[in-house]
Amino acid sequence: MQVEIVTPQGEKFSGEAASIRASTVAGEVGILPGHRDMMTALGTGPCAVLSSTNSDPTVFLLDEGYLQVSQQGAQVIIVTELAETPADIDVDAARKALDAGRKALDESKEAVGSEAWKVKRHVVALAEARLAVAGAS
Amino acid sequence: MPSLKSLRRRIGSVKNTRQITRAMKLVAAAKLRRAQANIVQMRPYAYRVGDMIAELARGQEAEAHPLLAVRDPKRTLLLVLTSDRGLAGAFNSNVCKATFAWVNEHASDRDHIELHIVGKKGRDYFKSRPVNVGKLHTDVLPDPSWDDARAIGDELVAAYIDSSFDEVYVVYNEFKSAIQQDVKVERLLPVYPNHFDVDDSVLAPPSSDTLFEPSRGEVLDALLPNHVNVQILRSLYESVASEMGARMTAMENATNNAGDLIKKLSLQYNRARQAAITTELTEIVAGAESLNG
Repeated sequence: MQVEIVTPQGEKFSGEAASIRASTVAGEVGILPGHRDMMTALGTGPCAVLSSTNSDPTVFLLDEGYLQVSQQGAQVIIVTELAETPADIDVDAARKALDAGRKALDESKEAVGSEAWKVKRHVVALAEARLAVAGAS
Repeated sequence: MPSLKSLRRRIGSVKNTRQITRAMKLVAAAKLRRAQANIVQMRPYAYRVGDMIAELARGQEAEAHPLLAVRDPKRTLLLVLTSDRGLAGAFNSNVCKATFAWVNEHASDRDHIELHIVGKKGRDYFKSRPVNVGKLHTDVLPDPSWDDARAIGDELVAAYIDSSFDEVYVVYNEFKSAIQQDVKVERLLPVYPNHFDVDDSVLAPPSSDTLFEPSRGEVLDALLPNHVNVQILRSLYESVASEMGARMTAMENATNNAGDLIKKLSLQYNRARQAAITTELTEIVAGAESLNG
């Protein structure tokens, strides 16, 4: 199946794939060729594209995006604002962001689940996902 | 006739000006190339988001989403894209004049028209004119990013949702070429569902059994503001490319004019020098003649 990952900064990935794993807002999904047509909102987390020729998956960190399966599972399109490869990720900066984010979350006075809390929670989730994708967690 | 010294000084000063305009032209050309690359880079994203919304909106009522619903336009917001710097030909005055004309044309059938301005030149233009200027976005230029577009977009969508405004337009210079930029007034909100930048060759055939997670409405909820952000970023990129194109052309003309002026002044200078030498010679010859006599 044909996979494309596009961001406002251009196309990040385009090519054939045997399977794809991604984190949606409702949990992780695995997509194989022939998947039912689907459109879903992605959360913050890793996305692994496994090609049929290479055993190592290509991993991206995605932050908020949409995944569309079309043409009876022959085409997968992911649009996202942020797609980082492990090489793009600054591990030290992510660690710092994680510590600062956790501290801010612990000390926050907002109600759990409020908009302001969600913003702080997102900073932590993004840093955690970055470290996980970079293999440094 | 001006003195030799003053002519020499003028030639020197025009040469300096030519050097500056030539440098500005080269800088504008380099920046234009980058701005054009930005436009090309974001095209796939814009197409894909458009495709997805078209798929989501297919078979939906127009009023299905607040950002699609058309209201009676009483309160209007215009987002005007200008530049921070001048010396770009008619770039700023074109977009400002078009905005001012639009406001005057539509003021009679609307209660309130407000301008949000990107760029210092727009701010200066509207300072002395009878219009309502709301917000100034001064930190967007010269390098607009996705985050900038998103910040503006979130604000506009919020203002639209809470009915502060019934419609939102963007006024900007569309980049055609370095010598041609067209002012466009485009509606951002409410979103025209049929006007997506859809690339027909990649649009999947309609499928009724597409699965939506969490639900069609929720995906649309998140994608429509995204589409607005895409439109804003595209207009910002177009505007920056237009600015650089306009500046490049203006500076090219200025450089050529300076060259012509230098030629004219050099001719004048050489004539004056010749005249001075002739006069001196005549005086010497006349002096020698009188001694002989």
